[in-house]
Amino acid sequence: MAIPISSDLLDGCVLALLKQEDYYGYALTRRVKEVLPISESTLYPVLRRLKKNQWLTTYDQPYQGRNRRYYQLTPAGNDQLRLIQQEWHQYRQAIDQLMGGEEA
Amino acid sequence: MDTYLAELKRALAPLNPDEQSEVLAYYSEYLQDAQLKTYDECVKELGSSRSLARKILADYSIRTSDEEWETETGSGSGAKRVRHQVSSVWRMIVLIGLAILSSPVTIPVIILAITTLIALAGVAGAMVLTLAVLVVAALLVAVVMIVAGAGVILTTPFTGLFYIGAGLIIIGGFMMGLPVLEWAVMLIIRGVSKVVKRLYRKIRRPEKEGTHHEKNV
Repeated sequence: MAIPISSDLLDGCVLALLKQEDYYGYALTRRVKEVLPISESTLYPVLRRLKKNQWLTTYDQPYQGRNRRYYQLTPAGNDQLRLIQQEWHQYRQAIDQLMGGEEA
Repeated sequence: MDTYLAELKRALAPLNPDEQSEVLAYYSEYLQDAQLKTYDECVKELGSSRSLARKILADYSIRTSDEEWETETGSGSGAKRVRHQVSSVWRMIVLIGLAILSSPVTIPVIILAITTLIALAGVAGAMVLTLAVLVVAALLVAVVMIVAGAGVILTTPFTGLFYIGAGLIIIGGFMMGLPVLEWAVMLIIRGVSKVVKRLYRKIRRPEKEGTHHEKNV
């Protein structure tokens, strides 16, 4: 069974990855796909939305005669990440309490 | 890969040039990084260019509509604003319909979703039409009353005055009621747009699981 991931949580995952390092589109998709069953075309609208909210910025870097667009976390994005993390933490505790965590 | 991107570009024609080139830059980079060269490899990774484009278009129309609601208090006369909203919601319904059609969900779900979309559009359309007919009828009655009143005012002045007065009251009431009417129409449109968006988000989910399971097989 796959519980569908909400767009807020996906935002959080992307922001958290970008906190570690800057990613370009394909690498980011691959990285998320290692863990979550998203489709290849899921991240474009997510990145666009995050950029519009100014939670991330982009810059281009030449790579083999073309440009790669890298995504970088902004301070506002970092705040947003912390907010999502807090909410997720509370939510997870609530669910664990009702449903039992792994060790319960 | 070039063929795939050219197709995608053609399918994205409804977007403005800036948005179009942004999408294309993203996916061209994506395909190069994924080292997918042949057309078939691209389709295998991203789905057909048409279904990808439809997903992108549906997404853009939802986003635009969200932004429009946020900045809605802006300019333009009431009628103009209503017309603009109707056309943008209509566009969104069509685009979402297309996106659902081309997404790999089961046929019953598609039928259900499309039927819901059509029913929604129909109900909302009927409500707006009813309002419009009511208004037109009231105005017509008012005009007839004024004309009739003016016709008899010389022979029976009081009857004439009565009819003219009643007609003017209806028109006055209409003028005062105009903002309420506009508000009602906007409410209907807003409701439709909300339901449609929710429907699309619901439908979109199984798709991800679907691709996931395919990969696992």
